[in-house]
Amino acid sequence: MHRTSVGWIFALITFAGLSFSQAFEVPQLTDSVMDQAGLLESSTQQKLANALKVIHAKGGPQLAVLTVDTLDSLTIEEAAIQVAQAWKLGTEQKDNGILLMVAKSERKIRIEVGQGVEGDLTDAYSRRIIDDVMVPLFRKGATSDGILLGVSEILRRMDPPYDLAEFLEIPTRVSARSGGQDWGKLILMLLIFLFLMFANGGGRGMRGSGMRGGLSGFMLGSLMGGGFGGRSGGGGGGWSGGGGGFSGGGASGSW
Amino acid sequence: MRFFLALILGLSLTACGVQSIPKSKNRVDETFANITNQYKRRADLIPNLVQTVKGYAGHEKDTLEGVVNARAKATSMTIDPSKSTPEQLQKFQEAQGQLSQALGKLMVISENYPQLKADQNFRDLQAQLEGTENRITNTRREHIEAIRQFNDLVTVFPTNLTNTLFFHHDKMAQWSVAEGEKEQIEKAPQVTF
Repeated sequence: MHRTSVGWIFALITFAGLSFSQAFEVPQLTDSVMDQAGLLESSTQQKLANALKVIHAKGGPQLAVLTVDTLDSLTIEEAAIQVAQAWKLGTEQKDNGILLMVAKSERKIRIEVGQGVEGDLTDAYSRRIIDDVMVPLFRKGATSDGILLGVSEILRRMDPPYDLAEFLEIPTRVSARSGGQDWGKLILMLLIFLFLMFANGGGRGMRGSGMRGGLSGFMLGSLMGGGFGGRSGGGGGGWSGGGGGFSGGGASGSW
Repeated sequence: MRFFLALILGLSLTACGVQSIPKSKNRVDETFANITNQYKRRADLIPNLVQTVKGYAGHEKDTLEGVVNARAKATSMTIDPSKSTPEQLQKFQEAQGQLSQALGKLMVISENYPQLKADQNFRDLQAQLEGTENRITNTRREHIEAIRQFNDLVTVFPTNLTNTLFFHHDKMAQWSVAEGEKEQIEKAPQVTF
């Protein structure tokens, strides 16, 4: 009896601790568009994500879009600089990272501008993009269009400017391929790997194992090249920040 | 002699602070320079802002003059962080704090003038000013962090030994919000209907 009550108290304390210590956490950067709040239509999200990667691969800015459900009592300015500094968007030489962040329950939008592009995308322009382009659409509930147009306006301010519409229509291997095939390939790879491992370890001696090793390496390599190289689209390699610096430039607004 | 060689070798190989203490001091100076840089930018924006507000709300003389005077006071004070005394530093912070306050008032009264709020020039200036204030907040945070790291090096073993041997730096006073701003923060916002 006594023990169980102690147990309950501990459980309660742990639970309370968990619920109170919940704070805004910077998500892992996995894609150029991370729509955690579900404000984008899925087709738009895929196209936009790919377009942003292509633009960055062509020497343009590294722009990322992040939507979150809640900021957990942080201001959007505090949250955005945390995310931007953790992700290190932009290259180290150019500091050309830009983060467009939307908080759903706080109804806040922020454009966080990297140090290297503060001259092209000034605080005043950022504010105009939010207030004049995005907020009217957000108020109508057209969040997907709002984000798309906001990104398009940001890119038009760059030097040289980029026309987002051009990049949205690029046919991509990524959009043509379904996510299921990637999983299928992963499982297949695993099976082949396991099979070859057991075959090698089956006590049939050293003869042939070199050949098998080479074969498994080749098969794995080709599968990975075909299956996962395409995932990054035109981005070339994975999607991660390049060491760009942020110092708090940009603007915020609410809808 | 051999002992000394061993000592020097030992010091140069371990994380003793011979490099990190001066580096950390430079970082503190750098972050402070960033703060003054942003203060300068803010001061540069103010004349335009005051002119624009005057066009729509010229009779708000007290508030406008308050901003102009606070700006004059703040810009008259330049500071070299490596040579300044804590008192000078505090005065500098106070002057900037008063300017923040005066600007805050100006922004509040501007809410009463719809035409002013709709003026594109005013909106741009407001966005720039907000951006600058946000940068000030960020650089301050970095400065506070830099001071903390420096103080850790100077006070915590083993780097504190290196400091007493070679550098003789004192622990730095942590950056604190100026009195004027403190009042502003602690005062509950007034809500009127």
